[in-house]
Amino acid sequence: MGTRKGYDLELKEINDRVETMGKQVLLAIDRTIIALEKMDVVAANAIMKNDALIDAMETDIEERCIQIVVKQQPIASDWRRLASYMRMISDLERIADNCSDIAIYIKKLASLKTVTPPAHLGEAFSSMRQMVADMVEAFHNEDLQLAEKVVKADDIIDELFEKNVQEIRDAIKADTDAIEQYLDYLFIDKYVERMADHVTAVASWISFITKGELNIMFTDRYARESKDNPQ
Amino acid sequence: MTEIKNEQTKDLTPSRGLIGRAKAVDRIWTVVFYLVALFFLLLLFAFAGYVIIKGFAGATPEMFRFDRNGIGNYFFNTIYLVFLSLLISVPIGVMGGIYMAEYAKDNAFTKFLRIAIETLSSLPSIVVGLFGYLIFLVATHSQPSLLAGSICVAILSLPLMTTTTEDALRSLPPSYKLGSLGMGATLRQTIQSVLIPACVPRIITGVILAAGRGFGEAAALLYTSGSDTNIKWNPHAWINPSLNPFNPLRRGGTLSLKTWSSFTASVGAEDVANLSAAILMILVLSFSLLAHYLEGRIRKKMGDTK
Amino acid sequence: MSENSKFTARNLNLYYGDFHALKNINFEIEANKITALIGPSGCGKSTFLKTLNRMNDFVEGCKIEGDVLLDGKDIYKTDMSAIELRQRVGMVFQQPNPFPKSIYENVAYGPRIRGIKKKSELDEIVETSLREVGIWDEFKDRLHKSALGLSGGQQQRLCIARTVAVHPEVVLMDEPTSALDPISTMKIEDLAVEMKKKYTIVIVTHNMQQANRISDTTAFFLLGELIETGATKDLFLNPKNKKTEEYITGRFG
Repeated sequence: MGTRKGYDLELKEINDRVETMGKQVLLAIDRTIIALEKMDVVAANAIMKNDALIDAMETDIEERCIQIVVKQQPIASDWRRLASYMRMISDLERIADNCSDIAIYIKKLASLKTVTPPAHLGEAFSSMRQMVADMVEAFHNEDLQLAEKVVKADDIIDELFEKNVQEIRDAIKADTDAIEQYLDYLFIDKYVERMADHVTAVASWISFITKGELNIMFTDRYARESKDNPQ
Repeated sequence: MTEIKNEQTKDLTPSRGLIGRAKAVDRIWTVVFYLVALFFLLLLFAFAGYVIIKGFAGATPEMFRFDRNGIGNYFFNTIYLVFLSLLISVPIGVMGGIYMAEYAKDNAFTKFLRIAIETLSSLPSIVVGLFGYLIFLVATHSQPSLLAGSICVAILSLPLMTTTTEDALRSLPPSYKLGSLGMGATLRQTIQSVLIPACVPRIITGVILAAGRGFGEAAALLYTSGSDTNIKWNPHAWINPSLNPFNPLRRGGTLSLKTWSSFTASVGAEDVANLSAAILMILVLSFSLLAHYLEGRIRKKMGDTK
Repeated sequence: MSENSKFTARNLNLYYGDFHALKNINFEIEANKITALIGPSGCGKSTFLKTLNRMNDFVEGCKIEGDVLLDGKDIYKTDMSAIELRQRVGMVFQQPNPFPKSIYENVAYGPRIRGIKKKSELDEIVETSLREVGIWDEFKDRLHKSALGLSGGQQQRLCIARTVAVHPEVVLMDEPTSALDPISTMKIEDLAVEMKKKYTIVIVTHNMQQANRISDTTAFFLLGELIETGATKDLFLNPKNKKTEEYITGRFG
């Protein structure tokens, strides 16, 4: 260190901003969980308004990355970092978007007759939240093991998603008047599953930064599904 | 970076008076140098002008003849003798220069050789003349000849040719040599095909200086070439080899010798001496100009616009 | 020694007098690839390059231990002469160094010293060599003009043409673009990439981006040691040695 002081400071700045963005996304998830529990329309609106802030953070980091690439031509670990940051922030932004999407359904559900939510939705939500929390910590400490744990946790979410779908199907069969509500829950369930996929992607970029190996550990569900049902 | 304070830079700014004084001193010295240059130029013009005008003022048409009475034959002898001496000194001098620049190891022998060359270059020409007289004439029982004279002149110009060639080779960019060797050329091929051609302009300068010295040489020729001349331009007379102008073994006085001998010979021959001096002057000047022109042409062809 | 290796250095040590300039180098250079040698000034990369065509023979007090094999034959111990070696392993220098001759004579120089005298043959070699480096159309109307009147970039490409005119197997390039402007640099880089189809290229460069752009293999030298070598795409993305990482990201010292 020492020979490229300004460059190192800017790299550190970008790193800190990515971490802050991760924390903001975690906060958005927490708010979404509470809003869903309490069917709080005001909170749902706040989540959607807050999305602009996260979008602005993404744009800011993206610009900084582009500038530093053009000016400093980073290579080796510097380049692995910056390339990863640019992919990470887009996944983080999608997670935040999904929070807003869920907020829309919260507002809809609040206006309809209350039904019993799918039993495993809460668990799926909190598991996914834990993944995001672990991801933020893994990023901060460049903790490869924790990042791998996040990637593995994606399978749990997939299982919970299937369980919820089953429960929703049963609930609709039992009470055809509540189709509207359960369809909304189905969408929320699907969003939670997608959010877990995005967190998994972010966690695999952490392993790219630290190990330098490009093996993005996306969900292997597609492989599994296509094998079980040969067409 | 930002720690550099403004006051510091301000302190270093010289005062207006100091700049003014420096400028004035600069101007004065510029004028002084111009005056010195002008003085040399005037000296040359005045000297050359005086010699040439005075020479031609007392000249008669007979003096220009290529016969016993004219100085034409001396004019020819001068050029022929210098030509012969260059024929000896240029190849040997250039080879010596190549040896010193490319082959000589950094040892005591080379150091000794260098001292020898330097000593040779400061040798008085009368000493060389005497040496030539003893070796080429007395020891071999020969008559004074153009060849003996030209060898003496060659000895005088050898150190110049050697050092000129050596300096020229040393001042070439090392990349020429490395480039050629890097292509698998031998050192001899490199010297012959790249280095020496690149040195030609500098070597020509050396040849001009050597020739200039030869044209004016008198002391070294005094005992070796003979100060009179008797040649015939009619080929039928060449049955007697001493009458053949191109026979290097014949006697042959040069213009500088003629100038000297005419003064000492008799009254009335003074005009011949003056004309000889004038012709010699013109010869040296025109040779110098021609050589500079040639050098420029070669440089231009090589693309060296310096 | 692998099948495809052109040069192999085994336990190579080089000394300039008492100075140990190359320390136990083991390295293979693959045929028809561009190998970049990088490292800070005085690290031994240029010295290593010079051992490949014995240009260090001209450095006084230079002593070599170990083996340098060209196609499996030791270039220092077999009967191969340095002259023959340099005909097979050409060199392009840092400063463009055309001879003070015409463009034509520069390219014809190599063939001439190898004894080719026929004008028609030389004409053909000059044309194909200039075409090969892509400057025939630029130069064909002024073949007999001095090479010293060309721009730096043109001179360097002429020097490359001069080198390939004798059909070497390997072309060594010692910082060939460090004296050139960016456009000329790009032209030389494109040329090098084009040339590797026919030749094995070893290039010393201080320009990290250049090594990254054009080379297949990169070797990092430091204080006379070969610190790391590997496929360029891996070395610049994920160097294994911390010193390599520090050097290529500009955080050295």
